[in-house]
Amino acid sequence: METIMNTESIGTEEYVARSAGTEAAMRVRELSVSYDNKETLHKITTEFPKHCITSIIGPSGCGKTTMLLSLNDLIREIQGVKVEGEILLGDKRTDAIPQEELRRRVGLVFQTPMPFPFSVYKNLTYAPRYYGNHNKKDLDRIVKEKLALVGLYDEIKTDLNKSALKFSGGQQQRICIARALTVEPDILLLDEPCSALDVRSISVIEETLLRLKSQYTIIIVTHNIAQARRLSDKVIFLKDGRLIEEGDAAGLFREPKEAETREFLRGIYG
Amino acid sequence: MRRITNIIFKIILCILTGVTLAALAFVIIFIVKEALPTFNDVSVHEFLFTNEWMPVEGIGSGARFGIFNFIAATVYVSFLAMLIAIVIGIGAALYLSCVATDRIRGIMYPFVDLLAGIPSVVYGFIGLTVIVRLFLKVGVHTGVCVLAAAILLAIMLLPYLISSCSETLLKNKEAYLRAGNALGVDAWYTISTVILPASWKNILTAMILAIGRAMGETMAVMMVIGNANLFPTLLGKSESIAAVIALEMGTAVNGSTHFHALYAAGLVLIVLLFIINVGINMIRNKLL
Repeated sequence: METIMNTESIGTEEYVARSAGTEAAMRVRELSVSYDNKETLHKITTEFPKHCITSIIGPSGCGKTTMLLSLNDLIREIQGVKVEGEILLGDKRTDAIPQEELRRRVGLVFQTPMPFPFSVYKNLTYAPRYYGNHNKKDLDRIVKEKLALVGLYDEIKTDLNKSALKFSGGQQQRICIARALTVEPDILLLDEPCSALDVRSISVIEETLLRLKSQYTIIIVTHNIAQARRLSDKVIFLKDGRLIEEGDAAGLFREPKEAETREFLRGIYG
Repeated sequence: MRRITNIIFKIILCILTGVTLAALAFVIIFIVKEALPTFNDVSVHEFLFTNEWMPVEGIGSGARFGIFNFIAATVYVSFLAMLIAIVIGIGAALYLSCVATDRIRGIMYPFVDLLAGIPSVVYGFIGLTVIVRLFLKVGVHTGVCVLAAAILLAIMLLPYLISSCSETLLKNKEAYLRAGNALGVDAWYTISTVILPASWKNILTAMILAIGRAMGETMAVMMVIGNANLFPTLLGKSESIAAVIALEMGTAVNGSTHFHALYAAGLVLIVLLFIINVGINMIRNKLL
């Protein structure tokens, strides 16, 4: 816990220091999403700074997950969805990037850990093999490197051939984060990655994310305000599909400008 | 009060389970009891491994009770039907679970369930008027044959296979397809390398249920298989155990060896089914 608190303040300083000329890893302009003609997101414009953790917070049904799924185009897998506006990865519109490449560059980890029903080794080599890497040495390196990045290698190095489903929820979620990293994404999206985990696992995952942000841009959807406080450099507050307020985490949590944000943070709704 | 209600509920459940088990035990004991007298006149080896079935004594020859051809026909037709049905069934289940929209699924599922409810005599009639005629047209003598029976049986097995396979595929699709998509992996790659292998265990369970249905199916098979005591070949006539029992039970003299031999054939069918179920279960547990 101590480590997390210390890193939190460092994270915030980092964000403030960079915010003047921050390079955005991803930008969203006038993004509207509707399911079966019912609008879920309304003209959202924002950006996600590089090598920072951006948290998207808001009450249930406000469009947090929809926004996250829009960023790597997984939203289009849902029937009856309509997306308007533009999303830029670097300087390129995401709809101009081949879907496979976009999803490789913008990885996503889901709320519930979803390891494939194979061994840890096979889980982590699944995507590299799909992308044509069949070199055993290279695959071994990837497995070791990515598991080490999520702080799991030493814990499970003798169990790499064990089914990924036999590990604890927290370990499974870290396997999924490691799996998302095997395709070398620039950005890592996480949809409430700790909501199904115990306190110890949450703490380990948060430490992992803070460690990863030096190499990746992280965007996380969370219901947990305390977690957003601990992790975030930037916070985006959504309500009823609209962006109500955004800004650096320390500022937004200390002095929210909008009444709705204040009410949300005070727990009046959520 | 709640404790007493719980105890009463438990007792009712125990009684209901007991009744089910007793019914099953009664059927098995009854069949065994009626089957055993057969072996006073015929040895087990002769009954199982010879192929002469002559329930009535002829001039210069005694009655013969060898059911080898019937066993072979039952296994042959059932496995052939299963082979045809599993390929089509998994294909249809893949379409329904991984390709079709919710709307199409909503329309298709009731039709699949409806297929399961059609009486087998109706299937048999369709088999006679469509499949047998088709075989006649392509030159199969009389049209009735093992392949016609297998095709008809496969059609009858399809609803069971499609609904149970698509259920498990849909469940695994919901669990793993998004994870594959999130890695940028092509949907069909995820389906073939994750979803399908993850579903094999339940697909094998569906096969066990279907094989039971196939081996016990009487009417439809009887109407198109030709009912001749011949070793089964793809385009030749044959006769299944269930068909022999259905055709001859009405004419067998009560208490005669013929009568008991038909029960013994039924017992063999149950044992066969048990062996096949245990076999598939062992494969399922060992391989997956």
